[in-house]
Amino acid sequence: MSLLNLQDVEMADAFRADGKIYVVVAVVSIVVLGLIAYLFSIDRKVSKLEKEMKK
Amino acid sequence: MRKIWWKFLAAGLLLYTVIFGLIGEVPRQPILNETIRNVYFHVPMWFGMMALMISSLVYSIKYLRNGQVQDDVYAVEFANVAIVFGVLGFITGSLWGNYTWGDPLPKDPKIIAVEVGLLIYSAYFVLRGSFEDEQKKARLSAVYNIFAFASFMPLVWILPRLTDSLHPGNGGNPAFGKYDMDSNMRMVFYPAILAWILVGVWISSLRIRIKLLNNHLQDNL
Repeated sequence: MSLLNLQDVEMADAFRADGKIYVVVAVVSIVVLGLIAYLFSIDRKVSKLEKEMKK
Repeated sequence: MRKIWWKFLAAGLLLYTVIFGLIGEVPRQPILNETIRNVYFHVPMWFGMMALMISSLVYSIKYLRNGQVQDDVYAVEFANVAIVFGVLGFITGSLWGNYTWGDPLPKDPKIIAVEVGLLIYSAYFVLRGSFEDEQKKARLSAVYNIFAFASFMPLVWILPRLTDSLHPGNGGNPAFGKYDMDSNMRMVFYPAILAWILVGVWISSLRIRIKLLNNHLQDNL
């Protein structure tokens, strides 16, 4: 198979499109989601402490 | 502070900003190239800082009016997070400037003004650290906070406009018109500002609640 034909092989190309920028988008999104989840978990811990303090 | 919906709003807007900030359409401009996307991440740091400083100012005035310890806690923690946003804005700005203006810290009126302004704000924390008496600390630092705000805003908003600056939107009175943004960019830029302000308020609220818990604990010991 020549190199030219390799271009025609079906692959999951979505994440490789546009110079693989979508991989970066995915990575940054995971970082942001992780930080947000972390903020939520800190938030819950503080709420729990506040509830205990009220007792 | 106990409502949760705005936290989800912050999370959603932030995710939207990050995704569309990277893959959305932006104008093609020489020198700037793709770095124009930094507008979504560098500029909102300053907006976040301003919003938090205004909140801090409001609570300082409130404290001076009624002397509630709680208001002092709000003022300090808003100022704390404001400084974090300011430092992040400063670092990202020098990185951006390094590749577009050719110098991480050019002699630009806006940059110098912000350096002075951040120093004025750091003196707020030095001042707080130098008092033993809690009431005196709270009262004097509230007064200083008003002074810091009143000198910071003209420094970064008015002085750079009287001369000329590398920053767009300075020199003259152009407001947002000169930011080189098209309507595609505004669709990301405005949500980005809101997202970062909300995240700033969220982090501040956590710090405030922890500080109040801590105060409560100390009182009961």
